Amino acid sequence: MARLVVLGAGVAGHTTATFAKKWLGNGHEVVVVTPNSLWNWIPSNIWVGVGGMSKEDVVFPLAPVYQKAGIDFRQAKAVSIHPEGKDGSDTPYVTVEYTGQNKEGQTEEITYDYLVNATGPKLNFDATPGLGNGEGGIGSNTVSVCTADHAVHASQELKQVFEKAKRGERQKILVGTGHGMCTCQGAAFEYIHNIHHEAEKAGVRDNVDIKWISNEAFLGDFGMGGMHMKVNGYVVSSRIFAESLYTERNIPWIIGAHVNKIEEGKAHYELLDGSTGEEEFDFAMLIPPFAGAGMKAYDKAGEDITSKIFNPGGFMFVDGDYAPKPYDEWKAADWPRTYQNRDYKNIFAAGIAFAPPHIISKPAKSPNGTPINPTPPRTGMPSGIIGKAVAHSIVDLIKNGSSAHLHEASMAEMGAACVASAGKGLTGGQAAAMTIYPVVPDFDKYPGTGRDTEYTFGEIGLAGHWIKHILHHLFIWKAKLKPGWTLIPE
Amino acid sequence: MIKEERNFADPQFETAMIPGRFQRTMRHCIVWQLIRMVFFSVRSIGIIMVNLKNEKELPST
Amino acid sequence: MARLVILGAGIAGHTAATFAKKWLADAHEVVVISPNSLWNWIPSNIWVGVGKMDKKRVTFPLAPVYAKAGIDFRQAKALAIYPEGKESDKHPFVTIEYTGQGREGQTEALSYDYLINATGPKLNFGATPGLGTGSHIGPHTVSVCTADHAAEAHERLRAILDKARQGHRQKIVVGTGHGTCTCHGAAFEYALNVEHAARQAGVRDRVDIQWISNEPYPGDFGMDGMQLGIMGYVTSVRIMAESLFSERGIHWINSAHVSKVDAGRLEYEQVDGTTGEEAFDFAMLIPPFSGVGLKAYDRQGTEITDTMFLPNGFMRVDADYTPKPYAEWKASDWPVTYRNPDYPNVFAAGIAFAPPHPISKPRTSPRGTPITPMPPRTGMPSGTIGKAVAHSIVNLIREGDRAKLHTASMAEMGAICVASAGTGFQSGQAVSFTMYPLVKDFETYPGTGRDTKRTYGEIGLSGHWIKYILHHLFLWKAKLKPGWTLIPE
Repeated sequence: MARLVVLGAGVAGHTTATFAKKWLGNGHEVVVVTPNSLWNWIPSNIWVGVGGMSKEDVVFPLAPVYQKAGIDFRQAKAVSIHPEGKDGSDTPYVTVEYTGQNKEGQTEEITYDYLVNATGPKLNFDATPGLGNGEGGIGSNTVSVCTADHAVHASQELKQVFEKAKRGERQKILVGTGHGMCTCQGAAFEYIHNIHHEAEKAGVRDNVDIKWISNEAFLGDFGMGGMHMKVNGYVVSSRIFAESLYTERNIPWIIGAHVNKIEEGKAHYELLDGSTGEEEFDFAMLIPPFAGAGMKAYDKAGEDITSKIFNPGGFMFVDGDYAPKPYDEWKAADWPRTYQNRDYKNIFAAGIAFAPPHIISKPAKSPNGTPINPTPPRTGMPSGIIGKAVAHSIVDLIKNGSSAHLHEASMAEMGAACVASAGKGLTGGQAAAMTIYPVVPDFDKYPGTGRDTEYTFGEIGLAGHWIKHILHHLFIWKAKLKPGWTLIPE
Repeated sequence: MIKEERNFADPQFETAMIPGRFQRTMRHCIVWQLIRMVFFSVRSIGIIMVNLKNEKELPST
Repeated sequence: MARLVILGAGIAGHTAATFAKKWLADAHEVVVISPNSLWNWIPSNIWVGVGKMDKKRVTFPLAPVYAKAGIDFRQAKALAIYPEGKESDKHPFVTIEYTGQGREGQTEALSYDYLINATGPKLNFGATPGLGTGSHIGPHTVSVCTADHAAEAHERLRAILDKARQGHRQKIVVGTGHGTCTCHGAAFEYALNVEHAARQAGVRDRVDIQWISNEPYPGDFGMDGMQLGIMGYVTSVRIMAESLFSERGIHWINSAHVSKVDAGRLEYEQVDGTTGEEAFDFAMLIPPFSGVGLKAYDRQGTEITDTMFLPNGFMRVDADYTPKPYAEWKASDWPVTYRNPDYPNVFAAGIAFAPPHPISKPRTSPRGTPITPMPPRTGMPSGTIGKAVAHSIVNLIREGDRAKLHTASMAEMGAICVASAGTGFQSGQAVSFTMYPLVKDFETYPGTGRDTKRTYGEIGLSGHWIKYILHHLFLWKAKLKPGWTLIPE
């Protein structure tokens, strides 16, 4: 009987754990370690953030689901990995610290045969002075939609802004990224368009200035170096697509910006050309940069081997090609395929937790040396696909031994469908529906655009909103392991 | 993909709309283009009519 | 019996003369003075320039057409206008110098009751060192402004494509040869047609094509660009123009004033002050336009050229020429009747009238070089203006000074423009535009300055057919063949 320990229960971790359990049955053990008692369908948080949904609509308690599935659930935070065991025992283990289940603060060692690191990001608010509270949490100057609780708070603040606007006070809203190295522009993109939509519905759009600020080199980069997609029978850059949306909605943009300081009602930023500026706001939603969850690693002798297993950002090394090389030499083949740790073959990383070999967008620095470029998105569909592939590999390893064939899910050979909401409403809603293949551009295979334009496609409309709404219910259904959940693709 | 998409490798060509296979075919589809010609002619007549309508008579002094 | 003298037999002059004669019939005299014996449908010159048509197909002799219509044709160059006549004879007159009809070099004074200045542009090659001298093109570049230039351009283009066929990489530059050029449309068409010709010759991958222009971006066309309806969206023509270039792999340099041309090499300055140079094996650069250099004298023989003309040689008409900043430009600054403010029996039509200001935003480099595309006044607007002026003069002749004048303000005028991107009954393509109005009117149409319902563009084979039909239609019309009056301007 083997034990699989999954750290994290986000899209990647939850997918890995549930599929592994389903395939392994009761012959083997699956343990999930996560500090949160609730599962959160993060893509819908933006709707919580504009008051279109409540927190309860986007979360559910994990414990009953895992209990029913026969997964051993520990509400705890992973502290360290000991892949070589310790003196006197070769069995690898992780140490965890409980955050619930009436064992708060207690630590425990959980041994494993296989480990999946799917810890997701640490929301690194403190990377920008004034964005965080100095203790790792969000500060009081801005709001966020990264967690359901953050989104609830954001919606309350937004409501006040709309009320003031209704009274005739001109309000300034700033949405975007709070640091030069952020990813997840998509969430901010959706949020700004949803704010616009809600402001129009509330009849206060004329009294609200909405502005975008981001670290992308151009609007529509999305951390993926932009993309060329089929729109209306033409192949166009996502830049045109995005700029058109912003222009249509009268949302001006500041682009190539590293937000370096936030005060009450004011954001300071540096641009790619080295110039600096400031932007006042009454309401700001700025995405924080992501870091790894901050786990440590120790060898058998108790020596710290964190830097061997994790990159400086805290993301885990897997089978990517991490040799530093200039942008021109980046290849699709640099990207990991099996997500197996390069040193410890029974450790895998999935979702945001794995270290990408390099960014996807073209790297850029301001003349002052500040890197200002989006880091690659690893959320949503890619996370789920990677999680499932990793589960598959581990199940094969357990069943067939170490000669088993590993399953591959390279982001350079993976397509993704992405629906970016631009407003909620059964008939008034809109969303940009995009498909993209591959996620990481492959310029050898697809010269010029790096992607296959037969499969990279975009369109905006009400249908996109319906899809997004259906996906919301479908994925929560799937995450709850309700009947037929395995039929719902990642 | 069509050959012209390679041009996107050049940053100057970034913000272009390059027609895909369908648009390309339609651009040279005789029947469709006949329809477009009629369509464009109707639009042109619209412009000519506006020009005629806008031609006013002013007193010479 | 009154005499109307028309200087120039281009689109504006020819339209004005033929309509005036038709309306006035034999009761009055219409005299056309043009130094050219041939009429030229200029929009088709680009096809001559790529060898798809020969000169004969875009020109025809004017004399027989005018003879049949009863128009007095003098193949001569206008020298000076005497709008007050002389001390001895107060009747206004123009002096002309013959260039044909067996009277070459002879001068003559020709009195008039009404005068239309439709002299078109002087092709001011001399403005850029190396581009040419005065109105004559130099040896380094080619042009498609006249049918002869275009024929020469084709000869040289053929040699270039031959060299490419032999495996030599060739560089072609097409664009504007000065910071104040207009007529970008012709260069744009030529660039696309050259690309098409290179592709048809199977040597496209051995030919680099480079666009250089004084416009701030591709698609400005001297009209400050335009927002047009395309596939149900409203979008900037810039995207359309850049897309056409991108699809065809034509690189562009914009905001550029070509400051010097040598054999196989040109230098340019950009609006941000940077300078650069381009080597070329073949270059078609449009020269800047100026007025043809008519002089004017008052009754005492004192020169009054400066009162009748702006310094660039274009004639003052009923526009608001007060210098004002871009932000205060108004659609109403533009002329309405094209009548000279000092001499009510003098009108100007087509390129010859002085526009109140450019349409595009004026810009200067840090060194003070103006890099501003000038407003186009060719094709459809020229014809429309020519006809309106003819109408006004006919009214004045018939009804005296109290007659009504016809208006043709470019701020209330739509235009149809078909820009060729390659010829061929099935392989051809052209961009078809309609726009309204020509001069942006931000008061009536906030945001875009134009009516986006009437401003529309599309590319396809049908555009080529239209352009081809227009070619024949306008030649038919210019030859005054049956039904010519039914063909709109």
